[in-house]
Amino acid sequence: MSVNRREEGAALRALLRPVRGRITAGVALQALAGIASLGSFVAIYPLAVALLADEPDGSTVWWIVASAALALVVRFVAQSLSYLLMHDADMEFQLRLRRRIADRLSRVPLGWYSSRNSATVKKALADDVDSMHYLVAHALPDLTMALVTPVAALVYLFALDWRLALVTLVTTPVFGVLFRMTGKRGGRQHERLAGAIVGINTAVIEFVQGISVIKAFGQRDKASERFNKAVDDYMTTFTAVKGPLMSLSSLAYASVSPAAMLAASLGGGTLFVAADWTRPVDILPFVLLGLAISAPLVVVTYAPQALGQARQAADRVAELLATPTLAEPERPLTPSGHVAEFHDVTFGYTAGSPVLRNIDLTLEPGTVTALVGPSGAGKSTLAALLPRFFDPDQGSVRVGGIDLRDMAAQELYSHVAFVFQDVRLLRATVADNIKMARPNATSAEVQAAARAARCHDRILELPRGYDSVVGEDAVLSGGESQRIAIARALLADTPIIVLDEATAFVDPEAEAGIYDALSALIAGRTVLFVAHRLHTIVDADQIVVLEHGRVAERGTHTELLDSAGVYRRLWEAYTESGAHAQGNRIDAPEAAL
Amino acid sequence: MIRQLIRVLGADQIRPMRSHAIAVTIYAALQGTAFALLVPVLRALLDSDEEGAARWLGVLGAVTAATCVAYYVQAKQGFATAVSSTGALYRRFGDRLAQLSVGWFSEARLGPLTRLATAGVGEINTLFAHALQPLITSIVSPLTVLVVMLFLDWRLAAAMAATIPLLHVTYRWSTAAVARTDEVVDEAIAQANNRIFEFAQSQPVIRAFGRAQKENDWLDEAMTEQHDIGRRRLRRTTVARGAFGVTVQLSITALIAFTTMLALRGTVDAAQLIALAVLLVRFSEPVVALSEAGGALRMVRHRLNQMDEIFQTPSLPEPTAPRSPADAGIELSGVRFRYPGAPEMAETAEAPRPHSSSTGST
Repeated sequence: MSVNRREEGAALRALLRPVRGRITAGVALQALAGIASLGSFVAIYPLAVALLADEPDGSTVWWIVASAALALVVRFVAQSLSYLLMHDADMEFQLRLRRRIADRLSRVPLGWYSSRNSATVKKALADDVDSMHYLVAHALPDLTMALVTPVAALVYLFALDWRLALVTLVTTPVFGVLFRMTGKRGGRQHERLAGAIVGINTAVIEFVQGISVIKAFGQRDKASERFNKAVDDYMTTFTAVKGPLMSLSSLAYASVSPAAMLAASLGGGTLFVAADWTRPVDILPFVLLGLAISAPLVVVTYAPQALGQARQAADRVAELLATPTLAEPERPLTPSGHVAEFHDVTFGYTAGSPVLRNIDLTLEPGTVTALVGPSGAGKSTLAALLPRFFDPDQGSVRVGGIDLRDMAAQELYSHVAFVFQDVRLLRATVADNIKMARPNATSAEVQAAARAARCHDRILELPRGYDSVVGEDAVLSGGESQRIAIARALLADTPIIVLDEATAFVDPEAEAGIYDALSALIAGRTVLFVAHRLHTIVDADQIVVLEHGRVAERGTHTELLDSAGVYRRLWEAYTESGAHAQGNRIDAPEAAL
Repeated sequence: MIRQLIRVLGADQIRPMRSHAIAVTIYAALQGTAFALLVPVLRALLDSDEEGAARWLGVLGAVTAATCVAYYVQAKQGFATAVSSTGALYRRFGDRLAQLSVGWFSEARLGPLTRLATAGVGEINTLFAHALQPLITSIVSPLTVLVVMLFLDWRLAAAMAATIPLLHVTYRWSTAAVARTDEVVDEAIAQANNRIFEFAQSQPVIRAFGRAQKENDWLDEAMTEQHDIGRRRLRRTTVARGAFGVTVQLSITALIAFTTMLALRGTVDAAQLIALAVLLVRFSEPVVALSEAGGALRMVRHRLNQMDEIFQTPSLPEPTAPRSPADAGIELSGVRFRYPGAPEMAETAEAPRPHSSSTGST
């Protein structure tokens, strides 16, 4: 969290650096436009002087009018150019930023895409980039114009007659004092109001998001009552806090309202003329420009908010861009063989709270290893380490004797395939999706894989069969997508497979088909299998029981039953509940391609 | 839009809204009058009539004081209206939601609905706190000046009136053009974001099957395309963005030229014309506030549309005299049902399910 002022804007400045030139030029041009916008006001004074002469000189007069017209043209051109530059800068800035974010996302650990982080990405891309865009494309130009114009007017007036300028501004200190008072009081009450806002927002969110539950359980009237009361409380607090503040700030703005400024400038002017300090015609600029000074006071009060939001948005985006990425090896090594090993692996999602501790595990080629344990024991996390969804905090994960971190990604994934619950199919044809690992596969091979994965018939039912595009004319259920993912893994033909049994639960209708497909997949390969139903893994070569992130027991089914430990307990609880009567299981290497 | 506002806020908000609008109008008219009074004061000064100037200055002072009071009054009214309609909006919103069928509350709707309920309510009510006053003032004030001008010099009044259509047309054209462009650009950005999001979610597949290069290129192409669309569109409407302010300055300049012409012809007293020229400026200048108010209005309109949609969604009809069921049996009698947007209907025949039985369906 940045604390000091200079740090505060650092992220924003850094992100805007590539388009700094255009932004500066845009702001400068906008300032020029602001000054030029005073042209017509300023012209009236020399015009009046010329017209009041005994014999007004036509050419002088028309030159003055022409200058006013010129100022108009300058304003138009400068303003248009300014917008052009600022918008270009804005669009380019956004493109660069999106590119950087996409690049980062292509290198963070696969496991980073939890729901929380996905929400962060969404927020960064939409809201945060938008806040910064608003600053560049809208707030900066508006603010520049709003500040430069009155400052220029003031400078001009002071240059003409500093005494009358001061008199014109006589009500400004009143504004200043009242405004400050409002700020101070607002500051003291800030907490109270902030608390009330949180309160009403919470009440609203609870009401809106809980509405279906509320209605289903017949609590509607009671919930409405509660909600209405929360609204009443909020409105009471709001009125009590904002009411007096508003009174004060209205007085402040009234003191510099256009009418007040007019009265001040005319009143002062009359006095000066009476005292013979100035000619009547010389008070014209003050009457004309006096009002230009007070207008921006309103805009200026909104500006800090836009800047603050943009700064915070930049900080969040900078944090996202600094997400640690997976280290790629400088000189990638090649694994020899495909023994998969976990050496003293410790891992936690957040530092200091490990989910896995000191795991030692070897997967011999051609064997099936099942991970079991109570929920939360770390089974899925451990399985996810093998396809390098994360890097362990301590220890190492190896394939063919080489640490995953020393291997190129291509190499790793030609050895390890995985089928997890959240299957992802790309927006391409079904055939392309299955052929993903082997683009040169023949359609015979593709169909064979689909048959083994029990989805061939379903694919033929699609509008264009294998040529249907996923997400467009191929709308697939969870179970159907799973089986296509399994076909994909089959065609990839990797020696090691990591599976989560939960993939089968996606679709009760397709469950049997998915189990058959999984059986086809594991035939003859090294398998790491996260099990949820104990009866499916009784034939596994190795069962590893995890508890609280540690290996509690390991062995075959019979060995573990005999040793009367955790596994025995789990097994007894499982068989008692009758779940094993359902009958689906993964059969050992019978099914064949 | 007013109709929509009333539909959303409820008819009992009409009264406070009207009071506020009237208070603002009074303020704006008083302001216009104060502006008009500069003419006699200036006139007197330019004619070296200091006594006359002081007299008129006195009147101006009084009107100015009234204007400031009127400002304060309308601000208080605005606040009261904002408070009253915020409370009303929350309550009506809650009641409305409670009446809609449970099936309406899909997963996809919850996010935007929550945002509408929290941020959206606040945005609609800034209308009363900040947007209404500049909006009404920037129209009523100049109109007051115009009316006064009719009595002072009908030719200038005519010239001023002539600029009104120009300003109006420019305002409508530029705000429409800018809104359209913003829509196109927003859409392009949304597309780009969706691509990136898909890209992120597909990372396991992309990396596992060596598609990194291809997908990166494809994504970059998509992002660049969206960027080009947005940039081209924005370039086309650069002029529109500043058009209104420029048009205002153009009308002032033109009016000044016209006044100059009249003065040189010598038919009217220069001093009078100069004073009128100053008033001219007071006519055109408040109008600029219109474009700022317009921006705030656009945002509010979007929220209003969302709210209006909810209020117009038909709710489940409820009986005035509800009865209690006799037992727990369910009977479907000639039921026809269709999901919104689906082509087919599910039909069931008469199918009584007696009390205490279990029926499964496939």
